[in-house]
Amino acid sequence: MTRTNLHGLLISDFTIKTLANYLDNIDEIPKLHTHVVLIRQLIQILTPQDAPSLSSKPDFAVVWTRPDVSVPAFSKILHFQSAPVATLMSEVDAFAEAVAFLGEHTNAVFVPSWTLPSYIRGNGMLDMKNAGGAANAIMRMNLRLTEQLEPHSNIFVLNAQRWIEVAGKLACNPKLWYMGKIAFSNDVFREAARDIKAGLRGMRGLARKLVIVDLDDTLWGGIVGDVGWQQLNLGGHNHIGEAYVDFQLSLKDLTRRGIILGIVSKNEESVALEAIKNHPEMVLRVDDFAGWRINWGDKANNIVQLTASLNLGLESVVFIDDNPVERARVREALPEVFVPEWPKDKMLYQSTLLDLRCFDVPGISSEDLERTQMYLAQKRRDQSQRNITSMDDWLRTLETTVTVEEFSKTNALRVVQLLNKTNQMNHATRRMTLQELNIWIAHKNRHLWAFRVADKFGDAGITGIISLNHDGEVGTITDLVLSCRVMGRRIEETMLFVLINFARRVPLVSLKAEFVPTEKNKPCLEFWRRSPFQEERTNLFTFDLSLPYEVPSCIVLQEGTAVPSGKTLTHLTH
Amino acid sequence: MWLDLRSHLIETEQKMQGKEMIERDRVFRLIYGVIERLNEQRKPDERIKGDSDSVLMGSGGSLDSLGLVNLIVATEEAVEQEFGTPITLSENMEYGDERSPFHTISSLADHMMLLLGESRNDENEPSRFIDFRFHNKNSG
Repeated sequence: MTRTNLHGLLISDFTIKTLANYLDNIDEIPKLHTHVVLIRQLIQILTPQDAPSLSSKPDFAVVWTRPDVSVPAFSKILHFQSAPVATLMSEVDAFAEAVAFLGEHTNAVFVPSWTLPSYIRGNGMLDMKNAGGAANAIMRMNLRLTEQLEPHSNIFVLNAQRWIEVAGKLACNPKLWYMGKIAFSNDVFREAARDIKAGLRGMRGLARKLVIVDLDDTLWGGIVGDVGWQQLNLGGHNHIGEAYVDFQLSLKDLTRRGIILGIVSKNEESVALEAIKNHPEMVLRVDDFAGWRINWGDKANNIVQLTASLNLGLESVVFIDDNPVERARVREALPEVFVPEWPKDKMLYQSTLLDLRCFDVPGISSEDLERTQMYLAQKRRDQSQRNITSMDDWLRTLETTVTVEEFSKTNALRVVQLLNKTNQMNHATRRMTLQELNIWIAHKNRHLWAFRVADKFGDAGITGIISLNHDGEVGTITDLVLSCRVMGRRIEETMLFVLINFARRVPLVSLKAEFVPTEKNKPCLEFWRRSPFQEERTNLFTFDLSLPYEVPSCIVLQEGTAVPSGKTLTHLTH
Repeated sequence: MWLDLRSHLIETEQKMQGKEMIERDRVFRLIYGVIERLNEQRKPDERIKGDSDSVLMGSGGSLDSLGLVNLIVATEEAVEQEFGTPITLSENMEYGDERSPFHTISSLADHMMLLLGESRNDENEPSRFIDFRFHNKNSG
């Protein structure tokens, strides 16, 4: 997934050019170029001679078929003939197998679930009763399909029924079918295209990570500075108050998906925080927010400051404000920030939030789930730093433990996240899917280690990776990636120590690291220049392995318990 | 009395012309709305202009057969929603012919006005749409 314009393959048994047109032309990133393959059966494209499209190695594929074509037994059910469930399921399995094969030839496969037009009522009241009903059978088929494809990390079954519901009763207009063999209306394809693009953004690490909210008339009803927290409209026996509570509940739910919350509001900070702490109906409390800027300054400026303090980029931010003037200001000043149009009607706040596509990710790691807590730990860490003058003294007080793990299935998701999301401390900025990484690491001379960092304030989870590719006596450091949350705490040096220790045991004679500059990774270059590596020429750093290299004294280094790949030497930490 | 009848006829004709203009304006607005939605599927330099003279089909036309199908179905759906009256544009698909009702936005609007008038007459309701072929013949 490294090309600017992604190349996609749309495989379907109906005319799907409209989806291709939407994918190629709607004004959302990533830019796509799609190619349509019309098939009768998916099996048609699975051999190289029949599949010239696959030889071009598309970045993604969409397989959208009609259930009665892909699963012939289902066609019988539609015509009120009997078909054993076992036959139905085995045909679904065969289809899933074909999709899985396709998944081996592309980085991502999207499979819209099977649907039926609303005018097919089947057996009426009997249609859900048992597998003889079309509605019952199609639910079983979709469930079976998702089960069969679940182990494949790059294959995603998308809920097409939602697109049908958005499009309404004309989602499957028979006229489109008779005139153009088009199975769905434009609105269905439009919705599908937007979901697929959201998925592709998520796979490229472009999902939003921080939601910044306003307070007055956004998180609660009323102006807290005017009426006091006791008089805010929030909860209680009031339809608007109830809507605010539900909106807060959905914001809190986002934190369980790895998204952090912040506040930017024009208010007196003490007054606003008093409301958050004391109002009995508040769902979100101070500890639910990773940070805030509550003052009378420009909101755009405050967003920049808050985002920087959380070590995030503006392209990670969603800003929610009821005031259209503030929204317009932030949109104009900070085009990277996503500012959704927000409804005037408070009762639509929650549904508008739930409808946002900007949070889609291909997986959720344990680090994601703990992200807010990690930021709160960082706050406490920063507070403790202010009380100690020497940096080294402060680092020692943190009691930092670094645990090294070999790359494995257990940490793969997080490793891919770090590769794709980290900008500043990223030596080569290689953006890779899990499938691409698996292919890269399969070579016997390539190694990758993940680093988990914890201290007395909390566990930051897996926050660093380093990788090595060696040939002969020289090893090349391919990746050096560290989350900005733990940068500057000697984790970088510890990661190098582990790699150097391994390289000596291979044994290698020297290491080289060719730094790949980007607009954002200057901190990594500064690290190399501070390190004992010699800069032989611009951006090329080398290290003679006969020279000493010690683990930083403020770090306790230990080996982790992740399932080893079997090709790495043990005792990395000694 | 003759003068009264004549002034009544003039007034009626003026009202009918005014009504025709209003209905025609609604039809154009509807088509432009449909085109705007369809343009989301098109490259920026291939988007259809919201102009009555924009050529849709035939020489210099913007639509391929898939585009025409999408235009027809989207327009039919929009008409039913806007006017509460179904019309069937698909029976008049004449690809590539410059006399086709789908040649320009303007010719499509004329065709829709005609079908709307027929549709209302078929329902035996007091027509909100005038059969302008008949009306124009007499007034000409």
